[in-house]
Parts: sequence; structure tokens; C-alpha cells
Amino acid sequence: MTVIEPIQDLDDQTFNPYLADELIYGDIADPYRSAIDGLLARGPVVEGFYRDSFGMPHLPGDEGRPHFMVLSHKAVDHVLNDPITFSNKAFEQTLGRGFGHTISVMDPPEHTQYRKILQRAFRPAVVAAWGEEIVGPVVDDLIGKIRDGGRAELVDHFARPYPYNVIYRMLGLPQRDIETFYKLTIAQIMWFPTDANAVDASAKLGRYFTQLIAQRREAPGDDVVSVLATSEVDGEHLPDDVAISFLRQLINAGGDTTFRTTTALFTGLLTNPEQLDAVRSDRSLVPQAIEEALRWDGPVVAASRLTTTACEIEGVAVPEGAMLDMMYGSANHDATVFDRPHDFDIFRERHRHFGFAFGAHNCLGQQLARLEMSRALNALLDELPNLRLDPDHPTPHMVGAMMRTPRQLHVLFDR
Amino acid sequence: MRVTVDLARCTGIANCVVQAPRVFELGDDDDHVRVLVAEVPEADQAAVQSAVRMCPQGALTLE
Ligand code: HEM
Ligand code: SF4
Repeated sequence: MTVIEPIQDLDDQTFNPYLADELIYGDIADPYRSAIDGLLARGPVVEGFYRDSFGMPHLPGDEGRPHFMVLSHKAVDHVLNDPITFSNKAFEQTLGRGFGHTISVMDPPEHTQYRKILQRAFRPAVVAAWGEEIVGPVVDDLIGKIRDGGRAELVDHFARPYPYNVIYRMLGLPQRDIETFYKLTIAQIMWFPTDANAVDASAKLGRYFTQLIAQRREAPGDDVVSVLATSEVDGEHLPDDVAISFLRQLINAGGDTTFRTTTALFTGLLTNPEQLDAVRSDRSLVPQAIEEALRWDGPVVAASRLTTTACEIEGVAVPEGAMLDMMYGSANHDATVFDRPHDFDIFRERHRHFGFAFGAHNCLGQQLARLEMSRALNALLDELPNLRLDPDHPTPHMVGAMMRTPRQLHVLFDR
Repeated sequence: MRVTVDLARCTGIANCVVQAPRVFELGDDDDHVRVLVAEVPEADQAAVQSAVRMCPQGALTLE
């Protein structure tokens, strides 16, 4: 039987994954009021770069192309409904470089075929089983560590480790490899100031997953790697390179995003205590609180698409070969759809939001993500009585131009 | 109220099943959703409206 060699660390021993946030996403307090409102006022689709609003470096793949921001709710909806004109090849130089040939860089019909196989691994029955066997125990474990203190900091001591621990268990990762694994998954999307670490991390993760897949193919369990290694649809196996790219992407797509949305949910509720009280006493409000967190401050403020032909979006002419900033954060704060869009309000009239995008590339892990956030919130409300902000610390707020989270979330509760 | 699924659009993400499990079902071995009722009962109408809003493929239509 194949024995898995320990995962190899980065060549660059100085890399610290915990410092990555401020470097990549900046310390902008409110990009909605300071930038997005102004952009939206200029039109549904505006030429330029979202990153220019904050002096952030452009992405690899941006050079030499016309560049537009897709801002309004209608414009974003239009683009997401046409994956042929608006191609995910836009991600080839970014996600594609770090992860390889993942479904995020594919277009239909190739995308449709692989997405079907991968989606099988995330069907509702499977996700429900993970809820019992994996998510529940991870929540219990994390809450057990803070419950007796009467006070806690929920970013580093709950929300950040939470989804990562879920994914480690979903993958059936050996304990000894976890720390290095985490570091490599953060490093693989660090393109600045150089992409040396990204290339190194991606290669090492690739070697590691190749071994894991071989081992699980010999002795399959019920973990995700086994499912990917053995799954087929209409007699088609998932090619190893697609499986490996998916696994590389999983921790970023499912870990970082869920961590940040969970902190948005906690921040929204803790800074609006009357809404927190409402949810505390009526748990049927949890699902709408989660949807509001995704709308109010979902982590994917911007994604990318590339036009394959000259086209018009909401009356604005866009040439072929243009790179688009898909501003989900802006569409979710479009005042023509959402009243007082910058307020967190779980009771607001509900409309379609783009926290998980929409259309062909809509989030594959959304059932799992919703289940994780629901379990987390319910457990906090059950296990930490009278949960509230700690008045000895400044009121927390979300930070960053995208992938937002508060730096800290200090709370008190009764013991 | 009636609801129909456009099977050419549906990709089986199952938001509808989660919203309204008494109305939608996903089989074990296929990737498409089935509507279980001819007429949506009063008690499930709000859930079905929410399913229509949340279907990422725009595959659900109310009649
Ligand atoms: C609250 C947490 C999450 C948020 C806010 C989120 C958000 C998103 C968004 C906006 C997209 C579309 C990107 C685009 O427009 O190209 C996406 C795609 C994706 N997500 Fe999530 N996600 C979350 C959790 C997860 C989880 C838990 C998983 C897996 C375990 C996951 C796996 C994926 C994958 C594989 C894709 C690519 C789908 C495709 O291109 O067909 N996500 N996610
Ligand atoms: S939510 Fe839409 S795409 Fe998903 S299973 Fe239901 S009908 Fe199909």
C-alpha cells in the first residue's frame, strides 16, 4: 500500500501566512461608502479597475487588456447568465496559475461535464452527513476551548480555524501535515511581491495530492479525496490533474471564504444587538441572517470574467478581450434593489444576492457553507449564554478592499 | 400555485430541495430535481418563492 510522505515545507522559511491579510487586502474600513457608491453612481458598467480605487497592484493577466467594472445588480446578473460571452478564462493567470486546471478556469461544455462529477461529491445528503460526522464535532471542540473563560476573541479562536478544520477532516489529512498544508494553501495565491512562493507551494501541494489520490484509490474511505479518486459520471473518470486542481482550490474556496463570512455574520449580529436578540430567541431566523451576511459583506467583493466577443452590457459597449471586475459587492449594495444597502438588516425584503455568484459557476460548496455557518451560530447562542460584545475593546468592524473580516471580535458571555 | 423545472438549465445544486423539501426532490443517481406536487400547498408557497429566487440557474418558474 502507498505510504504518504510528509508534506514538504516552502523553500522560503520566512513566509508567514498569518501576515498575508493586510498585505493583500489592505486596511480599508469601508470600500462600499468610500469607493463602490461613487463607482455605481457613474453607471452600471464603468471602464477601469476596482483595485485602482485603493492603489492596489493589478493582477497578472490584466496587462494590455481593456478593463471594465461590472457594478449594478442587473449588469452582474446579465453577465453571470451568459458564460459563453463572459469566459472564466479570466482566471487563467491568477487562480489557474496557483491551482491548475480547475473548474474555475473552465468554460462550458468542459466546465459542465466536470462540475457535474464534482457536484456529486457535494450533494445534499452527503453534506448533511458531514454536518453530523465532521462539522458538529469541530464546533464542539472549538467551543469547548473557550466556553469556561467568560470572554473570548472569536476571529482567531473560533472563526478562522473552524472551516479549515472541517476541510482537513473532509480530506482525511494526517495530523502531522496540517500546519505545513495550511501554509502552502495560503502561499499558493500570493502573487506579490513575487510569485516564487506561489509556484513552490503549488508544486508541493500537487506532489502531495498525487500521493493521497494513489493511496485512496487503493483503499478508498468516505473522505473527499476517495470520492474524487473513484467517482465517475456516464462512465467518465475525473482526470487526476482536474482532481488535484480541485483539491488545491478547495481550501481557499471553502476555508478562507467561510471563515470570513462567518465573521461577517457575527459582526453584523453583535453590532446590532436587537437583531442578535431576535435570532437568539427565534432560531428560524438563522437562515435569513446568513443570507444577509452574504449580501452585506460577503468575501468575494470582486471576481473576474473575460469577454470572448464585443458585446453590450446594460447599454455599455464592451470590446472583445476585455477583462471584467465582477463586482458582487457592488451589486449586493445596489440601492435600486436594496434599501439602505450598507445596513445589516436580517429583516430586509429579500432579493437575489450574489454572495455565492449565480449561473454556471455559482458556488459549489454553498450548502456546506450555509450548514457550517448555521451550526456555528446556533452553537454560540446555545453554549455561550448572553453572548455580547466586550465593551473594553473598540467596536469591531470589517476591514479590507475584499475578502473582508474584522481583525478581532472580542465577546463576553455568562458562565 | 404551480412550479416547473427547466431540466436543461437545472444543474442539481439543490437550493430548492433545501428550501422546500416537500416540493422538490433530488434522486440518488441523477443530477436533476423533480417537482413532487402538482399544486404547491399553501404552507409551502413562501418556501417555493424563496427557492425560485435562490436557484442559481434560473431553472424554476412559477405559474
Ligand atoms: C461562505 C462561504 C463561501 C462563499 C462566500 C463562497 C463564494 C463563492 C463565489 C462567489 C463563487 C463564484 C466565483 C466566480 O464568480 O467565479 C464560488 C465558487 C466556488 N466555490 Fe464557493 N464560497 C464559499 C464556500 C465554499 C465552500 C465551503 C466550498 C467547498 C467546500 C466552495 C467551493 C467553491 C468552488 C469549487 C467554486 C467554483 C465553482 C465553479 O467555478 O463552477 N465554496 N464560491
Ligand atoms: S436550485 Fe435550481 S439548479 Fe439547483 S436543483 Fe433546484 S432547480 Fe436545479
